Amino acid sequence: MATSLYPAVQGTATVGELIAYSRQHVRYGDYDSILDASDILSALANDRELLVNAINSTLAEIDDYAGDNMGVSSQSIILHSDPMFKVRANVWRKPVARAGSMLHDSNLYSYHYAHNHNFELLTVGYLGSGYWTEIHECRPDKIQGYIGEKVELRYLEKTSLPRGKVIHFRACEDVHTQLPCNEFSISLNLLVVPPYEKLSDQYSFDVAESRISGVITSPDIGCMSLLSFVALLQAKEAYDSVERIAFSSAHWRLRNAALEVAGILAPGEKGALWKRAELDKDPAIRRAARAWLDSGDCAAG
Amino acid sequence: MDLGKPYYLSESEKFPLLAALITRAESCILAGSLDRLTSECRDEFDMLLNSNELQAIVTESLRSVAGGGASHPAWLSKTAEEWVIVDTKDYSLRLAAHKPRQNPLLHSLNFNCLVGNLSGPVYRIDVYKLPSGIAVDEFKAGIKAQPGPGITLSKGQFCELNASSDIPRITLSMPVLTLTLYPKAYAPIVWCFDKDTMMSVMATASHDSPVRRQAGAAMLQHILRSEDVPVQASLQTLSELTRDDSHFVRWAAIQGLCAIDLEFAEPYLIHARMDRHPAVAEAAGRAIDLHLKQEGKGF
Repeated sequence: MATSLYPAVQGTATVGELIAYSRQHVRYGDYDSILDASDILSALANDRELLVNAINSTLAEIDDYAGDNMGVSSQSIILHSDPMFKVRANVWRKPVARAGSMLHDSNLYSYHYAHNHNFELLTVGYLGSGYWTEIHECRPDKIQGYIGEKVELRYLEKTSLPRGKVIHFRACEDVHTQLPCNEFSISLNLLVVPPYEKLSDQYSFDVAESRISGVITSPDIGCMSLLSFVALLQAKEAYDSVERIAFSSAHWRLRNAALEVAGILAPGEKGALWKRAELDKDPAIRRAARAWLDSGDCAAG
Repeated sequence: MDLGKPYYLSESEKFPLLAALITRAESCILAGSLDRLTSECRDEFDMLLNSNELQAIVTESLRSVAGGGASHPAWLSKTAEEWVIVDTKDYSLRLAAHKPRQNPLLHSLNFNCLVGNLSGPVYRIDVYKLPSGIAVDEFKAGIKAQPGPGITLSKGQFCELNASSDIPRITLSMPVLTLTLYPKAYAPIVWCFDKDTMMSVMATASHDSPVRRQAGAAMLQHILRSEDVPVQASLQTLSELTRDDSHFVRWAAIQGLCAIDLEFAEPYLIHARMDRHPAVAEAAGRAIDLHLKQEGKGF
């Protein structure tokens, strides 16, 4: 389960020391190695001038183009970023109503938005009483990853991230729903990221219904984009490539998209494509094929 | 083919119309005409939009992926169905798949842009307008957007939209690929309108950079109020931010200065009473009334 700690660390550490330690000892998916980094992350948080110095040295130079923002909120300050480890400070505020709705601020801080991460997140409260979070756990190996999929979510706890507390959110397994903080707060995060080709899907969840409600990020999005582009462009010259992806060993979602695009580029081949897919060894492809073959589209096509 | 880099940018002979657009954009920037980028690049944009070059790059890239190449070329977005064709600190050229979706708000634009329909089908843009005489950087709730011209974009057609006046309502019935060229000369803020009433309801920042400076100023304010650490460097940083282009950054900086050292902040607060943005000037006036006049200082 997600683990909370209160390391009793006296000294301080620098971002460079945290990264050097992490490169030597911390491994994606190795929970013990990540939890062992709690002490040095806490030592980093003990440096009460850390963010003041970081902001004073870079604030005037912060630029959207030059910065590696990792797709994170504008309420974050990036302290370090390399392909495997990232360190950032996140601001948390109470949401306020804008245009009669809390939606804008809730979206900004991902409040009330159940999601997992496809990276390991070790976080420490730096300032304030911190955000609240409700944590469930899921079994990633039992998930196919389609929207609406029923997922077993086990409630773990509701907790907060006050100054000095460390929480490890496990990659993929922990599903958390951030709840607004009571006061201005800052957390420091160490993100441990797998190589891109090993990145898992990241999902949002409907906790009440125990279902996947969305795919937030997926390592296949680049190829999915190319498939969308050739479909919209009606690029028939891409058909061979699309068919090759459809019957490759790629993720079922990508293959399913390729099957659909192949059917758009060559409508006459649609029936044969899905019949071939019906015999696929991947159950998700077989399910999609059966759905198409049982549908009116099949009769029409 | 190295999919880690936009290989097509170094193959100008193979993709001459893309190269021509880039050359035109670069020369425009070199001439210091960033604000005229969209008008000066219209011809090259039109030719690229009506060529087969972008489709050829997409097809080649997919062939490479199908053949076992990198599954995610670096120039494809990791968060959206978007191809960042060219991106420099001054301008950007992007191709994106847009799908019909419901959004209760309409927005003014972050930047001037050329928008072209690369794939079809035809779609319509109703271009509402900010009322004339409105200062774009001074948001007011309850302002009604004025109906403007309707534009129909078929495959291969494009239009130019202006951040200082246009509020586009795009009606899509089917997904479409749009090609967009824009200079990174951002509007001061983005106005948001209720889609039904067309009344302004809120404003947002037009890009992340000033929001990060605002968040940084807030961090300094809150950390230095609760921690016993030296403040001199932060006072210097916040002093610089009181001259920021974005009014909300200037005000965050004033708030930070006041919270950390009111005596040091005093001249900045007094100066802010004359700020060019009325929201900052009014807020500074209220702060002076509350904090300085009560202390018996003569103003």
